[in-house]
Amino acid sequence: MDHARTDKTVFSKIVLTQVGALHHFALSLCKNNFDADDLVSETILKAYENFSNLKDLSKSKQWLFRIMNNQFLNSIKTQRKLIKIGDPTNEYDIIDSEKFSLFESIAKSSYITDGNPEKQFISELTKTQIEKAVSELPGEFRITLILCDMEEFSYSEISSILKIPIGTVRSRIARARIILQKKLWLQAKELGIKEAITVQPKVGYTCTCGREELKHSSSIVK
Amino acid sequence: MKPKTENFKSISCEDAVARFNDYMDNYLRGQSRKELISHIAECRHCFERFEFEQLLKSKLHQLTGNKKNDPLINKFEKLIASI
Repeated sequence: MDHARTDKTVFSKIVLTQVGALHHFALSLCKNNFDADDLVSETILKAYENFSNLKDLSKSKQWLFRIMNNQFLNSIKTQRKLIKIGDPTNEYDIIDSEKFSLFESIAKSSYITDGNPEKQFISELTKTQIEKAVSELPGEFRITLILCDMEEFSYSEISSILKIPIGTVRSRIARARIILQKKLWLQAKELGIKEAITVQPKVGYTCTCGREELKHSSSIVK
Repeated sequence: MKPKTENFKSISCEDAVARFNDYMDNYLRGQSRKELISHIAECRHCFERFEFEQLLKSKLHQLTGNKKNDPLINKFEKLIASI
């Protein structure tokens, strides 16, 4: 069999296995279907051109994502539309959310009065609610979180795809999760969850580190 | 001879929470990881908060683009064939 044809068959198999993930990533970068389709096409063409440079096929997903990110950054430079990846970071979001915890907020709310309110909250989250919260994350945080939590890349792989240090990957993920939780909480409040007025601690146990256990006071007085 | 027991430095809840991300993302290693596991095993509050964070992460994972998408595959299969 001719070598070029074999290569193309292998290339096609690799790309088509990842095309859903690639398109999802493209959507997170471009935020609209039309540009996302274009970006996937450009990525495929560029990848095919450079396919002979891919030595380790087990890293093909990472390789394709890196090409896509590069293509996207190049298109931004050309169009001079944006300076940073995606939409600009809203500093207020980040500072305001720095110490936020969704878990603690639910525990202190009147979400439900018994059972496990935090788990129930998560199980009742709809796909649409989560997608909305993710789409509202500042660009660089959204992209890093998607690569980590949805595409399951390691910190080191994300560092290689986005060409940023691992320390930056870690801090972006930490911040992205906090901002995401804050957004989910604000959505929930809009839908009617009230913050508790009075919290009555349940007689229970004390953590070994001496932390006061208010969280388990699920019998909240309304 | 007595078996060698491992002695972990006890960490605070704040320290434990600060390590959740690294642990969930499989980045936490060595002593730091052992200290977190030991803390979670003893502290119910942190255990529940950790479970919550993991649940949220798994909810996000369900939004992955890795699912088979036939219309997309057909569309880009044609593009590859035309190269």
